[in-house]
Amino acid sequence: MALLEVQNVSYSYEKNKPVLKNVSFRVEEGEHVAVIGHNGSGKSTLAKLLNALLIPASGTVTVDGFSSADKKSLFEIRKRVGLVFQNPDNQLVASIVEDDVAFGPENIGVKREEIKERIDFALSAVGMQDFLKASPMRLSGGQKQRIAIAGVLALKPKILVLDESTAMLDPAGRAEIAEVVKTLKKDGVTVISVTHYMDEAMTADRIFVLSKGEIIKTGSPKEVFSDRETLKAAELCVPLATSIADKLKENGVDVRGDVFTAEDLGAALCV
Amino acid sequence: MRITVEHLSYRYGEKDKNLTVPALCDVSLEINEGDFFGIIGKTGSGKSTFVQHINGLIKVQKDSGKVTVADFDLTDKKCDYKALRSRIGMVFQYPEYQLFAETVKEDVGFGLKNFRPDIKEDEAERLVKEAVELCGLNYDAIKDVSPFDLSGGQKRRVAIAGVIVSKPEVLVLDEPAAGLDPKGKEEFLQLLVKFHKTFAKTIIIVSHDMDLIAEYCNRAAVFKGGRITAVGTPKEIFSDYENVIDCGLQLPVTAAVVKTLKEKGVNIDCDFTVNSFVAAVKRFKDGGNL
Repeated sequence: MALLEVQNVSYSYEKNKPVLKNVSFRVEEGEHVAVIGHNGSGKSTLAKLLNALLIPASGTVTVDGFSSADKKSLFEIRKRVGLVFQNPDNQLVASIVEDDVAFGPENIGVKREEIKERIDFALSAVGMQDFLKASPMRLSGGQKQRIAIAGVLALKPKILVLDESTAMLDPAGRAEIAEVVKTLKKDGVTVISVTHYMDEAMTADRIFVLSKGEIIKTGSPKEVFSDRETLKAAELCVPLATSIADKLKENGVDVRGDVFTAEDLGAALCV
Repeated sequence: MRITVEHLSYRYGEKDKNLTVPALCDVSLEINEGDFFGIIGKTGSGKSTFVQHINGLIKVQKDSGKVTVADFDLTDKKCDYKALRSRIGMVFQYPEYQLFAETVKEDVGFGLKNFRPDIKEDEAERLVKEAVELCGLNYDAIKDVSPFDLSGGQKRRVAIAGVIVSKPEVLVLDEPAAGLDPKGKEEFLQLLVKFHKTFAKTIIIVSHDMDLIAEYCNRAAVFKGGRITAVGTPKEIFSDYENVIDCGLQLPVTAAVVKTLKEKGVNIDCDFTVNSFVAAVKRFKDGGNL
């Protein structure tokens, strides 16, 4: 059985206006999946369904064998699925980094000695071990978001869901989070990242394309970004380097191979 | 409205000089009427502090330089800020968070009525309708709707309508495309181009998105540590790779490819917009190389 199983899930906030329609997928342990889709495609709703902040109107979400339809399982699910939102300022609760990261484990009754260990583990996972006594308010956006992620990691989740967690960060901040995701992946944490940045999606093992509440394509980044029809239907764009390569081809310039990044394009033109 | 900034410095927590570092340090810059101007730099480089000086949201500190916008001298205590602000529209990050009124009509009309207390109701509504429609929304369909019931993209458009309803000659936008999906971003930028062609003679945009700067701006300034390290066309700025990297920024895709090709001995001359890049590569290829 996969670590995460979503079966025929539908959800609506208002009657007759389904935000998600019959969505099904599986995510294996250790995978990194990116979810892309236009504004209002249902991405954030999907993220909230994964840790039982929302319960499907129909269908099931099963995490590590626990179904969110069963109220007794909610605690188990939330221990396993950590959710990080867009704005780090909305997620930090304490005035000292250490306390902020300790908040989650304290809540679930982790023993004092172990909390200390978990803080060290979580802060070093995001590269913020030197900021133990710092005030989150005085950190940069990227640093704050890393603390928010550490707060979730301190709960030792099996799955980390990032819901546009880089949207408010500058490129340097985004690069910091990308590094964290890489490290976590190495440590076997399953990562699901919802993003508008196509270059971020490029780094995932698989991409789910969400459009108007339905998953219309799943595949490797290469498969997804080669499928122009689907991207168009989902109102998404290919990465800028890819669209430049297309324009060059239209103008009769020979561009060989797949182009997704500036490096790819540079290499393709040098051939 | 020409914007002239001379030797501007600024320090938060002015009273305790030992504890604070300057946010701006001897910054001089001219932004001409007609510019689509980019302000770029890392987080904390002084970009926002700088743009907030332009409409007097941040006052010039004593003996810390001079800011002049058209005939307004912002160092003059008698400066008419209300008149100035009616002519300079400021759009902050995530402007939809500033929506507050019960209906779209009220929200969009709020600033207008503040700037022009004597305005007649039907004249106000005409302008509100025009602004909402200029932002690509159907006024009659949403005028009585709560702005909070709209989608994210619609909310942002309503928030912007509330700024452009006064037809500001200068429009300053801080990271305006953040959080929009790729299509929403493209549509939004086209909207700015439309404003620029009609009433907003000058557009100043603060952004981390170098591709956007290369594509849309005619000039830009690079900030680092409260100072300006480069001013010029995107071509000039992004040709100086070392300065761009030194300021903690990335190159736009076009400039990055031009750089790679140059290292291989191929010189592509373009202004780093996508079309000029494609044309330049094609020219080169037609010349029998690449």
